Amino acid sequence: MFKKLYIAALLTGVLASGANAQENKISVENPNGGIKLTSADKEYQVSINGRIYMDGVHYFDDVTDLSSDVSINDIRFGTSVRWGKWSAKINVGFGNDEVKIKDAFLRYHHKKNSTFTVGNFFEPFGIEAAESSKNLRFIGASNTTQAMGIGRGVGLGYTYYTQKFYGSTGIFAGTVDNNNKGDQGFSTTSKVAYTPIQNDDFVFQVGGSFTYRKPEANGFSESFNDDDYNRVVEFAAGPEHKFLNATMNGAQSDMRFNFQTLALNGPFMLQAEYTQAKVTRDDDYVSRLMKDGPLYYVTYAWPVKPQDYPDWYGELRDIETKAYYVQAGFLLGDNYKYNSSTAYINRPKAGAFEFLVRYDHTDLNDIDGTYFNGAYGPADLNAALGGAGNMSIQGGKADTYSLAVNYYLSSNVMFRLNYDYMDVDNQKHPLDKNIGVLKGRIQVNF
Amino acid sequence: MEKFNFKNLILGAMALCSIGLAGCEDDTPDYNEFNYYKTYPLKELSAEAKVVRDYVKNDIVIAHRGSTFWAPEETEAAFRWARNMGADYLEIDLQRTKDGVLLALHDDNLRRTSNIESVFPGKEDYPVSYFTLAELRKLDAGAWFNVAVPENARESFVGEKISTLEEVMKIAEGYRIKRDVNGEPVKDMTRLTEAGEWAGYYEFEADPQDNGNRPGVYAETKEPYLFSGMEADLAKFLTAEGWNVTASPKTIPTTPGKVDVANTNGRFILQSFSRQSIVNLERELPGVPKCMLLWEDESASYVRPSNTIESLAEFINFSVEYNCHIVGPSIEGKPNGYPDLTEPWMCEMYHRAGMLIHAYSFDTEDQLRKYNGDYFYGGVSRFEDPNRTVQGNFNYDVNSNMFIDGGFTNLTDLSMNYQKREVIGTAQEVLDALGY
Repeated sequence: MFKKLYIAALLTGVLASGANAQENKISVENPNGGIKLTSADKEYQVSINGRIYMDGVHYFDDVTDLSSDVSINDIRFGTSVRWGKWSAKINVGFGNDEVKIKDAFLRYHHKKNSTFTVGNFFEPFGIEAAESSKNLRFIGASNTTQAMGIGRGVGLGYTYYTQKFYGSTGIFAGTVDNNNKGDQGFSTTSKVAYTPIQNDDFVFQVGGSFTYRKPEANGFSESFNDDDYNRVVEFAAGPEHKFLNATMNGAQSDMRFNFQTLALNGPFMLQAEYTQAKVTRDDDYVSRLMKDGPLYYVTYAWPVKPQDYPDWYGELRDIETKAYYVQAGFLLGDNYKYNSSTAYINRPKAGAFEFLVRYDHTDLNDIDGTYFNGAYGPADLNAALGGAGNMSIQGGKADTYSLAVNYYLSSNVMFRLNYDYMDVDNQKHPLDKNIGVLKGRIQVNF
Repeated sequence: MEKFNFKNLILGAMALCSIGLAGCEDDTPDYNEFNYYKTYPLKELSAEAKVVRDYVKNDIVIAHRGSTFWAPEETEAAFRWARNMGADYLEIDLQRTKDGVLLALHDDNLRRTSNIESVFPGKEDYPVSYFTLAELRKLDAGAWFNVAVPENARESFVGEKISTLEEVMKIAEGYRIKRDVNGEPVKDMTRLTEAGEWAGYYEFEADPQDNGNRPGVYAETKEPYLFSGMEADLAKFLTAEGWNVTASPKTIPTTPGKVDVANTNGRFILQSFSRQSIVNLERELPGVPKCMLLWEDESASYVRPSNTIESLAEFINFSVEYNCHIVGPSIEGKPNGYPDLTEPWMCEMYHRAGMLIHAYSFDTEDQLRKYNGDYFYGGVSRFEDPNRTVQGNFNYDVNSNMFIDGGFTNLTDLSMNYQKREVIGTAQEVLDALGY
């Protein structure tokens, strides 16, 4: 229902802008490949935006089958409206036969470089995670960002920037995708970036981000009358999320740090991010014991105290994962240009080629037990053989080497070609060692 | 001459690749057991372990609990019958009494296979470890069989006792429990408790109906938490009885042409579903043949049906690491309806690791034919024609590594006949001759 309302609002906005054009003799501009309608008094502006991603992917799989295919990965349609110090944006995605709310926010432009935003928008975290996919250098984000980056959230944010400083913060209450009965959780996310060197020849930026999150509950437990039931954090990345996938049940909090750096020198670019996550876990053993009650056997009873659960199944200790990537780019036909308002790079001009290389290391393992046959036991082999459990997280590890070529045909159309070579290490897929991924994309946006 | 446009060439190539990538031919074989069983990485038994493995003969007949079909399981009647029938091994489940005596019993309690409800009312679900041997001797372990299997009932089964490990070994050596004129077992009053009371042991005598077969014993240990330290107790007991082949084993006289397993290094085989018990057995009884039993279930303790080949490999590699010379997978078919862990591709993996395959448990000729591969050979058994040839076109590259090396059978007579081995009579005739 929520999504239908958004779509209705979107269509209403488009129709309203059309009606407005007839009444007030609006002017039409086409900046950056888009169409912007401006009222005679210049107080009211409407622009329409959209995108199409036509993708093809071929996997050079090792053992586990991966599905090569062509797809319309993303179709977007939306509109932006601005009046006075206010603006709003609605953007809906229709890719892969799914309707998804993307940007949907109201923004107050307190000053040119100081804005408040409310609605559904990117949480400010790192470079790639806070940037639209149309502006990423590769097709999709790095495994680092896919796994531990953050997308959009519903909340309130504030952004301030100067030529050298960029800061953004916000508080969010889950995502528009929340379909579970349980508590939606919340998060607070902040990002700062400082660009001490910024001239025509050289740009150098460092920055950091932090987020504290109360994960979304997985549902409602009838047994415990509890909407706090099993909060889950999932980190997943790479081909079909098969080789990098960590699911952490019983999560209580999720903290992530990100460090970023960016250097631009004419046609050369260097970009890197490091992300580390710490997920704290716990369970309500008292309630479980009250529900289970002691199970009496002939010679003993189990469980008889809350601690019996972690003692037997393994302690739900904190989990730490980390990942980083480094990428370098070279532009043929243009130079990289920094944009202080986004703290990132502008789109290269039409006719430019871009060549990129990237190395990514993503480690979603936090293991302190012994593995056998799909499950973990305690580090003590005898205890493990006796059947006791261990709550290690085995999300897999991968070193990924990537190459990319982009061709910017115009402000609206670009062609992308990527090749990723993944060196994977995942105990659930013991035979899979090397995965190749060839991806192509025709990207249209306006 | 038209100017060569490098940009357009790249552009065209990128566009074509973008749209046509999925059309490329994929030469990676589908990931399933049939494409990977031959190459899946497996550990292999060491040369030393293979020497121990070779203590065990091929094509052995293992009398599952003595018999579950012709006589009450794990009683003297079942074991004497299996011995005289010609089984190579007497199979037992080891448990331990309160006073530390090792005995043969399958279930976790005595409800199904005894009259405990009338002897110890209210304690039907108590484990064996709750009772002393003398207390257990009060139970009738034979009468229930006459009700459960009326077609094979015999009056003489009434009063059968739970068997100790010592009794099973004595039966294998050609003895039986001594009985008085009333048919009651004679108590051994030389073996008393600390309080000076009868400890529950009986006297033995040479079995007058013994026909000279000397089978080995194939004993299963349970989860160690049920009987802590039992593997060490077993090692001590076997050594004391001269059945530990690594500690000056005694010579057990044999008869030419008869089963002689009890006098070989393969006289005692250890088996367990419990990995913890396997580790303990390797520590306490190194150099004694061991069998890793397999069951299928979606649990780390068993072969997972959701990823059978990886799971099977995990168990094989564990088995090799702890010198399990044999694997004991389940077979499908009536009447048990067990999961099938003895498919041809699985057997090829077991054999590639150097292990023997003793599957469980056989009740029908169809099962014997299936798991010995006869249906790949037009129904011809290798015991009829050792040079049989494959008849038909199968998904497998059929070879002799795909079939079993022995089986746990509830019908020793059926297995003996299938293998074309000499038998002295029908199952009923053998029981008659034994005086039942």
